[in-house]
Amino acid sequence: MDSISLVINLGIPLLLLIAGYFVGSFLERRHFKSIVEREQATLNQPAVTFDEADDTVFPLDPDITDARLVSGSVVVSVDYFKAFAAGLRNIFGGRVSAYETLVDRGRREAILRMKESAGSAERIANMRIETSTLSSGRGLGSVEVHAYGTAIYTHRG
Amino acid sequence: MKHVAKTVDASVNLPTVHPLVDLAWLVGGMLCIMLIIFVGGGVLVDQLAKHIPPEYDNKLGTFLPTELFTEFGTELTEGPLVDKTRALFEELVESLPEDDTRTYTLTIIDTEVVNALALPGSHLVLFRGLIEQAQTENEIAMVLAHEFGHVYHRHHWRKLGRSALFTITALMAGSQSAASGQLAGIPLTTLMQANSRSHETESDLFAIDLICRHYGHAGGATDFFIRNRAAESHSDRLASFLLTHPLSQQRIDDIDARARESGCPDGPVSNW
Repeated sequence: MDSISLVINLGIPLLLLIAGYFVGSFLERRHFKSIVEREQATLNQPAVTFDEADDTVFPLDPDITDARLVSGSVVVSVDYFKAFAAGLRNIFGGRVSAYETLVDRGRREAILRMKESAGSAERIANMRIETSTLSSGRGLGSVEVHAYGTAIYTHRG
Repeated sequence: MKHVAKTVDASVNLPTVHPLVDLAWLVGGMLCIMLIIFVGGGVLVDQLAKHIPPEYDNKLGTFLPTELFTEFGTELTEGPLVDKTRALFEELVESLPEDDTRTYTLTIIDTEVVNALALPGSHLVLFRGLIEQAQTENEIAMVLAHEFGHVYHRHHWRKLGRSALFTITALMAGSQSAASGQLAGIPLTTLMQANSRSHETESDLFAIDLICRHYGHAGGATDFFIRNRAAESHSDRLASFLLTHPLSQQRIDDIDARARESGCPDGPVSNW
């Protein structure tokens, strides 16, 4: 191995790792900031997991005017840094912390998008979240998070 | 009672370790495993190689494809150059350590390339280019002695074992991501080359001992390296940790030191 192949073999992955880390964490910080702000803004439009049609839990709300299926979905990709760290983690086992922020962002963003699509709904009932991976060969490519529920509209809203 | 919406603590789902700290642990752990396999395994390989009987060298040689020689060039079988070199080779065989019971063969290849090698099966190969550019007999004797050293110290077996360890370690490192395999290649190659350089030094020291036994002095033993020193590039010197051979100056120093230690004086060179 000569100096040129050293530069290529060491330099390119290292550069991608550094770029992946800085760009990835900048975008992540910005995304989390936006998530927190929007969560605050939609605090009065709760998304709950219980089924409102089941009146053994709560008496059926007489003010309901409409109920509609709403959904929000998001696809987030891993960056080079996260993929590298997670790849090594696969050897040792344990908490894949590199991916934890990724799925957290995906989950919260999907709920926010679902709320957005619900418009003036007072609340969203029977919410469910599903996750699937969009893999491209080796390792995790991107993760899709899909949140859906029943948007409840009332006279009051 | 009026309902007041509150936020929930979402941080429980987030990692508590900084990503760089996490990565540092992972990379450190990976390097430790690599070192244990490669260095620990290497020591084991070296110990095992010591117990391989010399007859097995010849057996290993039979696995060499015959086309290997023709790839270098055609074999030179006659002429004054061949006679001279063969005579020197036979003389050196006589001076080999007593515990070396191998049957050595020498092949001279008709090519301008300045090189010499030892192949498994106690085959020594000299290229015409090297023989022609030599200025003294002692230089050629040193080159031949160096190649005898590779065979004597079973460097083929040891390199074979190390290559297997290299493959195992690289496969393990690259099993989960292409990048980690690529990055692991750097420390692994560095270790491989360091090992190769230590073999070269071991052969050089064997060679100077043989030369001193044969001639009774170390005259001209380092001339080849002195000439070669000028040909080394700047990048070779900068990245010497990636070279398969030590830098010429290092080799000269090691050889001179060994000659001094063993009380082997400088002496007159023989014409070639």
